[in-house]
Amino acid sequence: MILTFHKIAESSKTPWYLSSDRFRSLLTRLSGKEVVYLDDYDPDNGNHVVISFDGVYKDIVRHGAPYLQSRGMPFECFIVGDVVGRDNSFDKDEPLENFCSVAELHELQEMGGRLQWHSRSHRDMSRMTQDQIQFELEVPRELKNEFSNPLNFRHFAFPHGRISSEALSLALNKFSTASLSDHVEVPQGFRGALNRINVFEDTKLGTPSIGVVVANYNYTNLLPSAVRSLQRQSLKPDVVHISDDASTDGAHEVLASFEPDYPVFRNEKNLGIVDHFNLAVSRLGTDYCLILGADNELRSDALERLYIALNSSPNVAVAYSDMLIFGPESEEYATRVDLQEIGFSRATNSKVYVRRVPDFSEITFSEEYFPSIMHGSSLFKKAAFEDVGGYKPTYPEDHNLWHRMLLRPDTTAVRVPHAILRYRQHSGVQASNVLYLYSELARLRSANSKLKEQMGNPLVYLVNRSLAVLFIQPLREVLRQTWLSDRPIWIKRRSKVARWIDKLPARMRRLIYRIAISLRG
Amino acid sequence: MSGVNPYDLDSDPYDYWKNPEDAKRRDVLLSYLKNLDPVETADVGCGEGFLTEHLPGKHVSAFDSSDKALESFRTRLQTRGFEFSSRFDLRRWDVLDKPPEDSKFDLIVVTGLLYHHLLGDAGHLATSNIGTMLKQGGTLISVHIEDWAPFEMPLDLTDLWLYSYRSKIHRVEVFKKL
Repeated sequence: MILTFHKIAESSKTPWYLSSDRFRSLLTRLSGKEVVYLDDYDPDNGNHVVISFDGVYKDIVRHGAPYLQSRGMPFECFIVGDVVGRDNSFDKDEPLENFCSVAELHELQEMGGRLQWHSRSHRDMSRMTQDQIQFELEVPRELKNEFSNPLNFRHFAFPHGRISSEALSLALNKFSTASLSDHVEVPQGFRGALNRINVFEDTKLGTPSIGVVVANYNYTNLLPSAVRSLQRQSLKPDVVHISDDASTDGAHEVLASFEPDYPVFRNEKNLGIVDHFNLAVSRLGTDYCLILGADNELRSDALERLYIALNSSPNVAVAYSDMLIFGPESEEYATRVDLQEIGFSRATNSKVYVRRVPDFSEITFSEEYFPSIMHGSSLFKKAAFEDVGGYKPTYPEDHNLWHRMLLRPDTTAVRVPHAILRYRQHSGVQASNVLYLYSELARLRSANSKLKEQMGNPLVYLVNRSLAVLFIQPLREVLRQTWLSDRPIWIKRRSKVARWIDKLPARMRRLIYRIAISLRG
Repeated sequence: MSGVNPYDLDSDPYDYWKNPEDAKRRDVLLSYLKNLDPVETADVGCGEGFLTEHLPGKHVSAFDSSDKALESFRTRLQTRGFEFSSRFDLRRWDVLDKPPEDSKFDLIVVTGLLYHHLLGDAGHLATSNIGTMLKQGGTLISVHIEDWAPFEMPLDLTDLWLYSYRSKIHRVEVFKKL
C-alpha cells in the first residue's frame, strides 16, 4: 500500500491534518511491514508500504521526517513546483501553512526522503489540453539542477487524484509510476498506475490490534496508577479492560470511577489467577494481548517497544522486557536475584533496581534459566495463546504459559532491552498510603474544579437551581404525566394542570409537547 | 510549542516571583538536586529563569521558545555580574524542533511544560526530543501538575513524590537513562 500524508501538526485542525502523536503511532503500527521507496515497491507484495507526503508542507520537517529517520524508514516527497518556499494562501478553506523551502527540501533528502513530482500548479489535470498537461508534467530545469540525484523526479502523483486517460498516458511516458487517489479506479492497461491511500486521523491500516487487561485483586488503591500509566502510552492500546476478581478491599467506587471510559468487569466470585486471566483474555477480541497487574505500571514507551518487537517476525509469539523493581520488599528481593541498584524512592522508602534478563535462545529456554526470564506482563499473540489452551493451573502460571507457547515449532520470543515494566515488590498492606492519599486528593480536587466549572457563578447557579426546583421540575412532572409516561394512560391519575393543558388548542399543546420532549433529555 | 508561548504575552505570566507557593516548589526541586554534581545541566522551558539560576552544574543551558522570556532572563543575569552569569547559556529552542546538535546533559530539569494546552497532540514528540538530550546515566527531573500532564518521559523512573501546590497537586518524577 502507498500512504499519503499532507499536514502533520500539534493538532488536527482540518481533515487534511494528522496530529504528530497519531502519525508516530501509525508508523509504529506499520512495524511489521517493509517500508520501501517507490523504486522498490511491488504492488503485489502485501508487506510493502510506501510513505509519501504531498505538497510538501514545512511541518513535515519537524513532525514527520525526524521520526522516520530514527526508524530508518524511507519516504517520498511529492512536491508542487510553483509553491516551493511559499504558503497555501490560495487554499481559502485551510489554515495558512508554509510549504518547504529549497533548503528544507534538502534537509528532507538528508533525512531519507526522495523528491518526486506532484505537478507545477496542483490544478485538476483531468480536463486539460495536451499542451497544458505536458506543461504540468515538466519539472523545471532549475529544480532538476538543484536536486540532481538521479533517484529524484522518477514518480508522479496526480493532483486531486483526478485523471483522464490522456493525462495518465502522458504521465506514464515521462515517469516510472503515476499515482491516483484511492477513490479513483485505475484504468486497465496502464502499467505503472497506482492507487494511494489518503491518511486521516481515523484511518485504520488493518494492522494487528492491541488489548490490555488491568487485572485487580485487592490492589484497588494502586489501580489508578496502573491505569494512569496506560493513559500515557505513546502507542495507545485499541482496547483496555479493567477486570476485578471479586476484590474485598472496597473496590466498587474506584472501579466505578473508570466507567464509562473503560469497560469494567467484576467477577461475582473470586476465580483465582488461571480462570480470571483466561476469561479476561477471551473478552479482549484483539490480536495482541497484555495483562497488567493493578499493582504494576508500564513505562510510557512500553507498548510501542513491545509491539515493534512482537511484529519483528511472524514466528515471534511473545515479547518480553527487562524490569524496574521498586517497592517495600525490593531490597529483600535483591538479595535473592541479581539486580542493578539505580536509586532510592522516597515514595516507597525503598531502593529501586533494574533487573536485566537474557535474550531468548536455546540456552535461556532450558529448564535452568527459563522460569525466571519472562515476566507476566509480556505482550503475546492471542492466536498462540489460544493454540495452547491459555493459562493452566501449574505454578507459576505465566511462565508455564510462555513455556507451552514456545514449545510449538517455529515459535520464538523477543526481548526488549529496556526496563519498561515497573514491577512493585511488596505485600498488599505495604503499598504507599501517602501516595495513594495524594492521588485521591488530586482526583477529588479535579472533580471539584469540574463541578465548579459546571456551576459557574454561584449566584447564577443558585437562581438556576431554584428555578429548576420550583418551576421546571414540577412542570416536567406534569408534562410527563400528560404525555410521556410509560404507564398505560387509564391507570394514570392526571393532575389539574395536565387536565387544563388538555383543554388548550392543539397548536399550543404541540408547543408544550415539544418543550416536554426537550426537558425529558 | 503549540500556539502562543505565555511569556510572549506577559512578563512572569504565572506570578512565580510573587507567589510563596513557588518558593516552596523551588525548595522541593532543589532538595532532589543536592546530591547531584552535574557538569552539563539543562533547564528545558526555563521561562524567565525562576528555577534556572539555582540549578547545579558547571554549565547550565537554559532553553525556551520565547525570545522575550530569554531576554528578560538575560537582563536579570546581567545585574548579577559576570562571575555569576558566565555559567549560563541562554538558547532559543522549541521542544518540538529537532534537539540542538551536540547537546547532551548530565542533568535535565523540565517543569510545567508537558501539558496538552502547551504541546497539543505532540507531547510524545517533545518527550522523545528531550529524552535524546540526556546522557547515558544522566538524571532528568520532571515537575508537573498531576492532572494536567498527559505525557510522561520514556525513561526509567527512580523516584516519585506528590505535594500540594497552589490549589493543585504537583508530581515530582526523577528519571534516569540507563
